Amino acid sequence: MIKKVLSLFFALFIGLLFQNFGGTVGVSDNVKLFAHTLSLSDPAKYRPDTTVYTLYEARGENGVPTEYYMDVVSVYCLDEVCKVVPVRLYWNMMGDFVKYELRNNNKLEKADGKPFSSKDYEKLQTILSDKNSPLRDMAIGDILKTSSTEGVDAISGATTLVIDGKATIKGATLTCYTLWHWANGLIKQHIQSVTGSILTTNQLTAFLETGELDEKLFAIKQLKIHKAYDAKVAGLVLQAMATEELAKEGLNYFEQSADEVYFDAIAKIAANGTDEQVKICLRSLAGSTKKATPAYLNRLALQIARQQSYQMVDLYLELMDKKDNRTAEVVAGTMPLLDREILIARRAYWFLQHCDLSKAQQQQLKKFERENKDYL
Amino acid sequence: MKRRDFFKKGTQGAIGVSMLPVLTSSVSASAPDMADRSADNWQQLGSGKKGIPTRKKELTFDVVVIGAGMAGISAAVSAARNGANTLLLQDRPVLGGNASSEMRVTVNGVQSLNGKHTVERETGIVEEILIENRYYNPQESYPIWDHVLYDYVVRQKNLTLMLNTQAIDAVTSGNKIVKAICWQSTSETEFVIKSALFVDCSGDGLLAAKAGAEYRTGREGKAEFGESFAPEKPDGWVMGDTLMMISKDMGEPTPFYPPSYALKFDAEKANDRAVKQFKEGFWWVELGSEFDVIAVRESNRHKLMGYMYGVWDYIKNSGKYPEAANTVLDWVGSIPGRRESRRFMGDYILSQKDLEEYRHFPDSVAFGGWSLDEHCPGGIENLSDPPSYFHARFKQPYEIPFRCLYSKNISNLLFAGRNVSVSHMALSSTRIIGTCAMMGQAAGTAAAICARKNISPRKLGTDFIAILQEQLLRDDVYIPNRPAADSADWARKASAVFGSSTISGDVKLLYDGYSRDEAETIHHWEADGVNAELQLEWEKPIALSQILLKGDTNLQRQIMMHKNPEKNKNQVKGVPPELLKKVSCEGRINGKWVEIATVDNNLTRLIKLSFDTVNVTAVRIKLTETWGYKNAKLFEVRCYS
Ligand SMILES: Cc1cc2nc3c(=O)[nH]c(=O)nc-3n(C[C@H](O)[C@H](O)[C@H](O)COP(=O)(O)OP(=O)(O)OC[C@H]3O[C@@H](n4cnc5c(N)ncnc54)[C@H](O)[C@@H]3O)c2cc1C
Repeated sequence: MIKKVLSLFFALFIGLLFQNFGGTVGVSDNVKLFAHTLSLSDPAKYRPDTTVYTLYEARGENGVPTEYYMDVVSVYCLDEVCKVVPVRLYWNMMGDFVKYELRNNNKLEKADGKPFSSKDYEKLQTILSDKNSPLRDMAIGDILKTSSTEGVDAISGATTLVIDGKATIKGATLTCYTLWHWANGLIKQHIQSVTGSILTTNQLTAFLETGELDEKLFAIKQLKIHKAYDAKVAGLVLQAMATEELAKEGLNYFEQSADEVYFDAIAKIAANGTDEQVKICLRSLAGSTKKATPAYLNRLALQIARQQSYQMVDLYLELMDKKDNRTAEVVAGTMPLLDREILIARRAYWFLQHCDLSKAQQQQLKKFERENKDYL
Repeated sequence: MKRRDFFKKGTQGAIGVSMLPVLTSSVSASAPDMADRSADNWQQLGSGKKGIPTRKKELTFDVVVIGAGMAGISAAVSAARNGANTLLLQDRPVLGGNASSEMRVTVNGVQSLNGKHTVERETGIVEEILIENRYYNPQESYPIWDHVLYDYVVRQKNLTLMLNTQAIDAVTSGNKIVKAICWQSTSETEFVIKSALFVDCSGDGLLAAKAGAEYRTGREGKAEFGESFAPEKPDGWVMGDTLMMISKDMGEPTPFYPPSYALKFDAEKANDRAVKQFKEGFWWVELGSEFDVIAVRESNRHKLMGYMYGVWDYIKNSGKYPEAANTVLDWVGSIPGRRESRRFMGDYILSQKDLEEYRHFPDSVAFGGWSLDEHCPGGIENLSDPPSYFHARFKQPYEIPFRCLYSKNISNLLFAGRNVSVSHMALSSTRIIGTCAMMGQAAGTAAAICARKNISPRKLGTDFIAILQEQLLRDDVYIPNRPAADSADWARKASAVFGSSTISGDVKLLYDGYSRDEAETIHHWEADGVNAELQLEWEKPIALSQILLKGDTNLQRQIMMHKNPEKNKNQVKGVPPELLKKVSCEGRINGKWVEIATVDNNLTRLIKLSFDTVNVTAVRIKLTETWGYKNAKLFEVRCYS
């Protein structure tokens, strides 16, 4: 459940001190600090009750967020007494984890009471930076379980390792788990929606041209929220829809646009796109309440005869069936399929059965029926 | 004790008391023909009639399952579903054995693995039951659970249930059991039951033992199977029986006064027998035996009651647990749960090494993966040892071969559950209920096939094991390293298979023989959203009458109920949200799509769409709704004529 960012607050002060781990101090001029209030649930708690947290956003001169940070707590338990240590986590403007920081001389400890070594601190940085850590798919109970006992003694604070050694620090599994989920959890969506609300359309489209996959997905989503549908933006989104994932996100964007923009995008993809992209479009069209004109569908049907795969042929003909568009143009585009491999030919045959055909076309259909009795 | 000539002796009244079962109080010493009321002075006041009621019945079945713990239920249901006229005998008034409301043991399964999957949940019958329980018994009431089991059993076709009925003896001929002699205590009726196959899932195995089936009790020494955790020398110790309990909070301080027979709990010396919660009982309130755990059942029960109250007295009155001031005992068991007694010998004895090395068996039919959770000899009377040694955990499931599930010397006798052919050390893991239930499904399915083919279980194992394995896989059992390859399945022969937009996996994985994601390889197709469709197409029309789907119930998350609600934390209540709730299917008949089957309010991972035979060139399966999850997800599709 995503709780929306509550509000954008006041600028705290200008010229903020950034403290790196290890104590080095950097000064950044002209950075404004904004506070955002979020309701979040602690990933290390069983219960989903939420607590209010403050997410700080550092905004640079150009009005673009440069960094976010938030103070969370790490928990570790020894003999059932749990100690909490505040940890500050940093993310970039896309909500990707950057680094952590311990302030006021706070130290992390392991289950045996020993403090973290400098190696442990380094390892923690590596663990938290791994987006695909096995910690991602684990439930807190998996971490807390010691051994399989028949009874109830299974849960104890003294955690034992159930995942490969790279993903955790021995004796601090729970700490790793908690911090990983803070660093890589739902916070990303919160940060993205803050960033998205701040960036301009131009800044977003810049991602479409040069960004990574993640940034492109983000940009398309935000452009939809910004309702940015002028020809230039729409054209850039269309160009960006190169992978299946991007095509889906792009279609979501176009589905919210004016009818002509939507239909135009689909026609362009149908003409030039890969099968995977076209599939997404045709499914969208079949399920859409937007009204396509017969002329539009006839133009789309020009694509049918060039389809190589049975599934694509089926999709096109399903669409024509669904939209009740069995026009002479569609028939003309479908007739040649009778000579193709049986699955495609048979599909065309069944479609054509329900169309108004010329004498010659009827004869062709009859012939097909005679020759392929066994397959029908 | 064999009773080849039961009837001859019976009519002569020659059987002495020592030959009769200890457990049944109603069996009279001098009258083995228990239906004989000729000496009764019996008058029916309503009709005024005097007479002799006939209380002896003979019945015939294809398969008789003795004992309705989770293994026996699984065996009986699978035998019945596979076409055998089946009887399920249970000596208690409720179903479930150790898992019933009488004992309240949690239905655990493969979990706490030390691998990528920590949980590798069992599918098939045991899962069907656990999901139904979540649906019908959201209150997690044990008495209701009993009746969820009851409903599940009594509604099965081909299955007869007899409660309060104990199998007390076997009539054998050669190396075969011909009849089971049973006593129904509530109706004072003796049942003589003929059957082609007997499946002893009674835990203790009285019938099997009486038939002369070879068994062992105690612990193997290290040398026999090279088991590193076994004792140096063999001995007679078995893991013990335990009495459970459940408490509740009164909201105000409430005293506890122990009963006269309470036995003091020496917490100082208790060695890992820690009191960490007050909600449910303590599995380590346990007593075994070095010689004959069955013989001492009643005295052990009495002592266990004493120990149980002793521990509670310590919690309430030692002053160490002020947090328990408001807590009172709400339910206490009267019949201890049983971990170990007879282990019957099959053609193979599964041992520690097989488990640890994940040995592959060509005749595997089930899997396990609970840790080697061997409880200490003596239980609570051996405080110097920890209550369980927890020798080792597993990384992945291990295999259980069919040869462990039938008797080596009685040719028509199978087993499932805690009494099968495993070493003591292997039992420390295989005894877990989910594992027992899978063995039950395998043994029951095997018994039905044996009855149909008129062959022995051994013959089935040597000559027809693929038939058994394929049937189990079809019925949604998972067998590690044994993908399905059913030649009757039309899905594998489809010319084209495609689905709506994919979010993960691939439609091709739906007929690759594996119906779950394994730790290292996925075998699913997940659509983008619900209202998804899957289409299979054949070149020529085929005759179909059934489509089987395997949906998602999240096999890495547990679903059993608990005595302690805290333990639901990691689970979801109710039906697994990933599971498909509504599914329908269209067939293309003469070029037209026609709806051929619908399933609504689906509660099972194995979704059966059955219909009158139709000739189709394609089917379109519509995955309309889940129990909450945003996408439709499948692991398998099969099509049958
Ligand atoms: C206290 C305790 C805690 C445990 N904890 C766990 C746990 O947390 N999780 C887990 O998975 N496993 C646990 N186990 C192990 C598990 O309960 C057993 O191994 C498992 O229940 C065995 O199943 P079964 O079906 O083989 O036998 P049972 O459950 O023993 O069922 C056998 C049934 O057969 C009946 N019967 C016996 N003789 C006859 C006869 N002659 N005629 C007719 N009926 C007969 C019995 O009354 C019984 O109902 C525990 C065991 C105990 C005792």
